[in-house]
Amino acid sequence: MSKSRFESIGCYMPEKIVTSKELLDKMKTKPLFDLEDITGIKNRRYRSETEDSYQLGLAAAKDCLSHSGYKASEIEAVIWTSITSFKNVSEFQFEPSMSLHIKNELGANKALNFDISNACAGMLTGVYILDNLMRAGIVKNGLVLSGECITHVADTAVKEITEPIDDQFASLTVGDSGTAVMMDQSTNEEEGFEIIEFLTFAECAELCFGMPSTQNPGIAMYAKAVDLHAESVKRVPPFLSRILEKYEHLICKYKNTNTKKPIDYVIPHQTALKVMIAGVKDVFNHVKKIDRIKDFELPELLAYIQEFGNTSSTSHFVVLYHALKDKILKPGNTVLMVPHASGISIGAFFFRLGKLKV
Amino acid sequence: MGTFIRKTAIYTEKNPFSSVECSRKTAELCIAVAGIEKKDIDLIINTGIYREQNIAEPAMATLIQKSMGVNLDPILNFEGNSTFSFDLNNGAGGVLYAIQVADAMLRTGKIKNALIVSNDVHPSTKAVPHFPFSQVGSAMFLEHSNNGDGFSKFIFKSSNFTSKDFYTYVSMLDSGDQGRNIMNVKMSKEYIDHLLEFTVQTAGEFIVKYADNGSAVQHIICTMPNHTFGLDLARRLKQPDRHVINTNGDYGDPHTSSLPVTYHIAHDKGLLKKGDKILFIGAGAGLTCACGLYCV
Repeated sequence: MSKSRFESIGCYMPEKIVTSKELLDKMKTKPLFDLEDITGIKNRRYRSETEDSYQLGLAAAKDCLSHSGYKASEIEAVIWTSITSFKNVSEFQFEPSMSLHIKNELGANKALNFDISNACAGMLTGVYILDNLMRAGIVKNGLVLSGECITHVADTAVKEITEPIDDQFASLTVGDSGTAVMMDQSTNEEEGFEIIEFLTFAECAELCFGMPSTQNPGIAMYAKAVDLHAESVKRVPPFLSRILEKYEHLICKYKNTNTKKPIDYVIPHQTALKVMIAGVKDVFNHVKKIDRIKDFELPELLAYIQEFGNTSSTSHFVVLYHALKDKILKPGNTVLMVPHASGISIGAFFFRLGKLKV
Repeated sequence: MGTFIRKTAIYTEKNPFSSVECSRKTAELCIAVAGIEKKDIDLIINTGIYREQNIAEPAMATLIQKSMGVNLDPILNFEGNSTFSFDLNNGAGGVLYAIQVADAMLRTGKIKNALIVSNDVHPSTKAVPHFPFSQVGSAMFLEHSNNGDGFSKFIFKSSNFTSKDFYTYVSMLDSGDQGRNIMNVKMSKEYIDHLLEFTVQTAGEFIVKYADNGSAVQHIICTMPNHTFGLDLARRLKQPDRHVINTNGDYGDPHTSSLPVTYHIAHDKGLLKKGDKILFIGAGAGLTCACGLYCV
């Protein structure tokens, strides 16, 4: 059975930059912690007054197709995956589906289309589904995309936080973006996905909610950030160790002959820089306890959180796109993407890169 | 060889109320009659669109998994099982898209079964006059079958220009502090007529291609945006009236639950015989029409 791969990638970042300082300056009640120091986030992109989720996703899709070997009319699946579904700037849409608007605007007339919602794991849930649709022979290719105007929750937090401890503080970390990937079946054994695993540990499903505010027009995010962190650090290392041990033979197939690393780069969900650095170390300390994989060395961490913040459902793809653009990632590199999203969905996506143009 | 509906359940009491709670009750009924233990559920897909408080995150399916207590902590309490949950939406016919996704995952061996749940409630969880949908919980437990039964063919079509005939939204500018209690529903007078035309065209193509122009079909199960839609559709497709299983009179329009609810009632009434062919038609906003051919 052939493997699926990323055939092309597109990204759209709104032009407006808002610094962490600018955001905090607007608040009457400041956090007890130093936001920039604790998260590493200096800047995030903000939608303009006329931009919405649909436009961000559409711009990313167009960028993706400009680098793709496929024309819109050849796309067989369109999967929209955002948390926010703003269209006509401020209308949060439920029907018709966002994927249908995108499909018709692109002219992808023959595509199967639907919307997925799975919090910050949205894009990778789309990838997981499309991989199965392709391997089952239902479609030959597809577009997974998300346009995320998530800074609406930051606007609400700025207005509503009145206590130095508040469930809305995590809302200050988010940034807007659009990303899209075309996937198809790999034409050679050396490129594409080796591992796609996902599970939901629903015990903690109620630790983070995104929904309209009860004080103001607009949406808010309420996260028990401390609990989320505490529960996650207990589980991500054993989960990933289990996956790495189970698929050791697949991972070691592409061991880098220069660095001796079985995995070149890891892209975690972009929440906070220190958390990501500690998380990768935790995982590989855990790995050392397992005989079969105890020699696995630490992969390089890819993070763009300093510039873009937590872009929610697009975060792994904002990083992938910019690491390609900055020529950090090269054809032949192996990458482990680790989704970690409210629900709580945790997964492992391991692939070898081909030639992706940006 | 196809994806087979092992069991279904519906829940019609005490509505409207929490969508999560409605799905939990329905799903628990479904797996109880299927004789399935919770820990053996591999995948939960929620296709319901309207939910309490307009929750956007996390996926409703994860809240349903939590409330059912399905493999809650498959990492620290790992006993060999885990479950993956997400929401999939595409209007009233969304369940057919979810079945296609589950079908692909059953074929690749990624999962052994899937639980698809749905219901639609006004975000205020109150009875609201302009809200056109009735809350009926539905759950379908799907497995792979090698006996020639189950779903064999699907078709998914949508209009090339997105129709403004039916759309729903919450405006974040003028919702004030009521964003959790509002749903704007815009439906043109022509919506049902336009939807019928589009559905006749799509389902017509489908039966020519896959169902001997309809002569191979014994039952039609379709979404019912009004009480005559099913009969109007059958007549336009030149199918006998008696093939249409009509539940609109009993439950109004259960929207994303329509197809599983109607299947469940038909099964309960003993209308479905082994080997019968069912034409599933999910039509809705967009305009969108999905068809699936199912062998009982």
